[in-house]
Amino acid sequence: MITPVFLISSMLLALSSTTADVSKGKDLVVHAEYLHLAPGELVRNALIQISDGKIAAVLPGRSAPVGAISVHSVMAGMVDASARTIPSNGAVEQSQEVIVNLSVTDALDLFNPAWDRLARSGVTTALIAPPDYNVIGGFTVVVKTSGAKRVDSRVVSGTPILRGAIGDIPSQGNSPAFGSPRDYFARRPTTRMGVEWEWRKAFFDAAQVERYPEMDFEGADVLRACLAGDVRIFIQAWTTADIRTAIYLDEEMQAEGYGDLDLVIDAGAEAWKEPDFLVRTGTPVVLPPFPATGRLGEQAFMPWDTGRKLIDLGVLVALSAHGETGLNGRLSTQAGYAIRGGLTFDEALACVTTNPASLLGVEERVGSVKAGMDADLVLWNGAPFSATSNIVGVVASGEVVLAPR
Amino acid sequence: MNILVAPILGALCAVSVDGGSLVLQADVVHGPEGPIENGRILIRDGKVAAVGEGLELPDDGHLIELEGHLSAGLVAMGDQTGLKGEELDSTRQVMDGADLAFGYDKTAKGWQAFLEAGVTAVLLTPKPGALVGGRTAVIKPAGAVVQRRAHLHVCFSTAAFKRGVAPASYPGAISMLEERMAAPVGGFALVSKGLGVLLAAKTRSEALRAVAFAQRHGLTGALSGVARAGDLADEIHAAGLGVILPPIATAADPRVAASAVALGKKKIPLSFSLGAASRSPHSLRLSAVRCIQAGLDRDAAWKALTSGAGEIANAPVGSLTVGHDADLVLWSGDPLDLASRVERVWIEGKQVHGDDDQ
Amino acid sequence: MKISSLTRLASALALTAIAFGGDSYAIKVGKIITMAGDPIENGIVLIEDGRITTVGEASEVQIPWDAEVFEAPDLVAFPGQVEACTSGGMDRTNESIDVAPFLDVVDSVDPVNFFFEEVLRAGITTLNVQQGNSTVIAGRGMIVKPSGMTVAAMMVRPQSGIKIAITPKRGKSRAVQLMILREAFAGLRRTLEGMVQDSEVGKDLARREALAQGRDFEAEEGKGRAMTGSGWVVEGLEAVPRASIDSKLLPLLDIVEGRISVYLVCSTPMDVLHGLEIARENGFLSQTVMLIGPTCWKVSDEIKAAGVRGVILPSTLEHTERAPFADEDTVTLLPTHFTEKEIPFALASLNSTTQSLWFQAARCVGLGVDREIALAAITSGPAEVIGLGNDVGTIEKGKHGNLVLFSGDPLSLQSQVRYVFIEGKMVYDRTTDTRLQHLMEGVEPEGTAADEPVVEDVHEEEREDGDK
Repeated sequence: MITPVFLISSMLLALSSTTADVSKGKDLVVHAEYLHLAPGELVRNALIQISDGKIAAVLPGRSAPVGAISVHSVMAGMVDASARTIPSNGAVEQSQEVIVNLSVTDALDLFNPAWDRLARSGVTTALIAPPDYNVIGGFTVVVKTSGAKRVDSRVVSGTPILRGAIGDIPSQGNSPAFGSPRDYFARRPTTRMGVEWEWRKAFFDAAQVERYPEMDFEGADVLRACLAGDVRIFIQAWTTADIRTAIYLDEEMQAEGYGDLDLVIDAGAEAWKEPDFLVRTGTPVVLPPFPATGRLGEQAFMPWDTGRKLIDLGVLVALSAHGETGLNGRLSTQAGYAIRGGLTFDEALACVTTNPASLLGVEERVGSVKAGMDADLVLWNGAPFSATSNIVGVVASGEVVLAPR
Repeated sequence: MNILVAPILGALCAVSVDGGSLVLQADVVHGPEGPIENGRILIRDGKVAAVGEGLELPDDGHLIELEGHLSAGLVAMGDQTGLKGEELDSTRQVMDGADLAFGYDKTAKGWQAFLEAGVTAVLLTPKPGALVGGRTAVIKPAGAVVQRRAHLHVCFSTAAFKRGVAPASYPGAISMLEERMAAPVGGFALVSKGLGVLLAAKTRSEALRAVAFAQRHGLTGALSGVARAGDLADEIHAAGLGVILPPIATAADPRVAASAVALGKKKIPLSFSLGAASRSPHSLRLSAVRCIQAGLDRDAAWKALTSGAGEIANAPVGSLTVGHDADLVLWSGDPLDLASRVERVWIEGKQVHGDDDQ
Repeated sequence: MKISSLTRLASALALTAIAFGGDSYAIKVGKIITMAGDPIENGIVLIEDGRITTVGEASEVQIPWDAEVFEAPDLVAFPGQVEACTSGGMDRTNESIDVAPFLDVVDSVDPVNFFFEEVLRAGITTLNVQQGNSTVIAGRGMIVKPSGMTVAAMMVRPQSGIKIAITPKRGKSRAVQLMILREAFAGLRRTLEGMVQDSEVGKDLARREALAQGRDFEAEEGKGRAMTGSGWVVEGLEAVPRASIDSKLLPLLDIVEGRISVYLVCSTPMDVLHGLEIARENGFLSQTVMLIGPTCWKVSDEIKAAGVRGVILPSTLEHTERAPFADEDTVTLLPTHFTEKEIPFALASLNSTTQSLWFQAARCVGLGVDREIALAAITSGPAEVIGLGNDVGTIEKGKHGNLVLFSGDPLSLQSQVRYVFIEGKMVYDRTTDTRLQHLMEGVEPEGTAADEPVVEDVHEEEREDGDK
């Protein structure tokens, strides 16, 4: 009678010890046949050990232990520098057309199901910006797309980034002040010229404070920090005319001796048309999703080899979903499309991981699979970005948010 | 203190207690310490003078033996009955000096239904639609104002944003509130001296912002209107706030009642709101029962209808505590049994609803 | 079988083409994915008079002396893909009349529509063009090839099917939609029964008259024909000459008698159930192709049991749903689900550039569907579904010489469609595709766009000054 009982218990013991070896209690182990540590760095048959939400170690040349998640390919969680996942109107303070002292952090709705979907699509870090109804909409925030539904625990601190727009959008919905203007819509710009003027005025006024302290106004310090290059500015500019305006603004500030803006062009669909503007100022570009017909917002036209052209000229490029949620718009699909447009795999990988991470100043924490970095992984059942591959799993900060079926 | 009663009640004032004292005895008396079998309540000068078992009848006293359960009247939170046209002033966004009590119309015809439902105290709140909608008040249906300044009502939901006027965004709203708190005057000065705040919100993220605001400034008060506040129980608990639950009576989503259960587990003070002037005051008890069905402790649900609500309303209502006004309800059975009827209602010791059988 | 005048016209045109054609082509490529057996390395496809005569290894196939030879040793030949149901390429897709089966798409197809250029660029060589979903019973569709300057030249098969929408258009209820639909068939039945009755009455008079005139009345009767509907029949219809039936009703009789395919639009599971019931009642279940919505996987068992001819999956291949009061999404992978249920399906393009058929097939593979099944779902599968299984969908003897030459794996993002052949003739050459160059590289075809205004770089001078 005693022997069989003993046998069973020893078997249980053996089983549990195997499990312990693999997963070390609460932590996770992922095995990849192909592990893309970072663009250009591929290792085979690698074991990724995860502890406390961070990558503890990467061990190449190992076979998959029993019980570990094992997939064809693994790469770093993607970073979307233009995710736009909080679409509520309450996210931008429209009562002034230039808002520099508020942050979109106070408008995050982490309970929105869109976050889960974004995380499952492989985007584990995202820049959230105020919607572009304002000329300058305020500070952006970089967050992890999954985890506790508490803002503090999700924020990834990086470069402070102010967000604004040039073009049509900030002037839409406003009305000229005929009759008796009742609300702020009557005061805001109604044309592209008006939008441009607001940008120039904001920085010009802030620069005057240096010489005439009595001209100080709320937010002048932030604008001066922008001129000093301490705050990065993301400007949404779809068309080449708007990109030109953004660059001229920067160059004008330089010419006047006011400072040098640290610009990034977001949604720069037509950056390919006059790339010299970006090249001579070293301005990076975040590209919107590739359109089926080439046509995008504000009638901008973006051909499929845009990424190729810009990278060849040395422009730093990041891809983005720009709020698109369908398969056609997903960030991983954009990387595939960019490859179709002529990018190499590694360039495409950089455009959705390390490049956007550096634009947000969070490259020390996310964007590549290295010990000590956040355990954000995208698990594929084939070569990443290939049309015949699918994202089968996602790990974010060490938690499995999409489990391989 | 005058109580305007409906004509049918005029004849019921046969039992006069002016000057003398009244002792009510019932099968069960829901006292502040719990139910008492065959308990008695001594009422003197319209106030509760004593509660217990086998209380001696004073010489000037008059004993009424009743069948059923005797309890404090229920407290309904967040109602706009009797505020017709006064529930929201659309001319400005911050009205920290406005008292809703001035908009209270005790002659409004809706109040009789409250008494019939056993509700003897109501927290009047503004309709969410301004950043700061005014100061809430506690009143007795068709009766007196009990608490003129119960809370400052602050709205953290999108209802606070009106097209064309600042604030137009969450960050803008919070920044406006912070400015006021930095140099407090008017209602904000009262808040910084201890006046509670009623934090109106809808979504959980709005609620988190509201709770963080309260905690930042060490405010007391309650969160109101958040269907799934249970997910934030830790934060609410840490901030020491109460919660006014939205009507659960008609909520289809089972997670709303489950949320109340989660709050109950953390011993967070709860109360129920009627939500809208058009909702029957009878639904208050139904909300509590739905929470019990979902697993809320019976005592917690009862407190949420009575004493707990009184505490959140910052007014001496909802309990048979000695010294409180004798606002009582006689139920045909256990008040948490929905089949139980309201048999009689007393306000300040005077019967204002029900049959007179003495 | 009754042949409409249009069909006759089309046949006549086809005959003409053959008469003038008689062309012989040989296409020699690095690899042929035939979709009818194993791929062939270094293969040759011989095409004569528009049809494939030989498929085989280069070493084993003799190229006829008069054949026009096209050699591309680096390219991969793949069957021209088949779009099983589309509303692209029409002048306007929808008709506001509820029941309009007497209309014909032939009057609406626009040969110079960019749509045909786009699908050709993606390697699609056969399209079943049907009206949009906003009618109850739509007009008759047609199968075309995306090449040719006239509708007649594009024609592959006229009157290829009729679209019936169970899902109502915006603003209409299902109750009304189904009322109209049922009434259409009930009305047909009533009309036919009335005609039979009238003919019974008239027959005696007619016979007497014929007798008086010395004619053989019974011989003239041959114009009618016994009804063959499997749902319901009208007894005595053989006595009614077909020509006397209102031509507006004839297409409906074609449906009931099984002569024309039905494309049933069912965007929700309930629509599927209603659709199957109506198809069963009126006897067109076996010639029904279902255009289903993303949620219709919920009634896949019913679809399987009904035995319809085919299912066309929605282009959103994943269905994401959140149950009321749930905190998590449920994701259903449609191609995987239908493969598991053993229901053959055809894929549909989401759009003609980024998510054309090949991309949809690639997505299926990513979602775990066997590669062969996925490839079949854009070639032989849809060919079967539209009733052209003997003509298109694979590269094998007897079929139309419709080939796409890819630069690599047809399902790779890096592959390009280099050439397309329809019935042996090259109809697409990437090197001359100027609109593609615009899309891929931003090169404006000459004379197609207004020149951008020249902008003077106002800072150039300043910078130069600075440099000094």
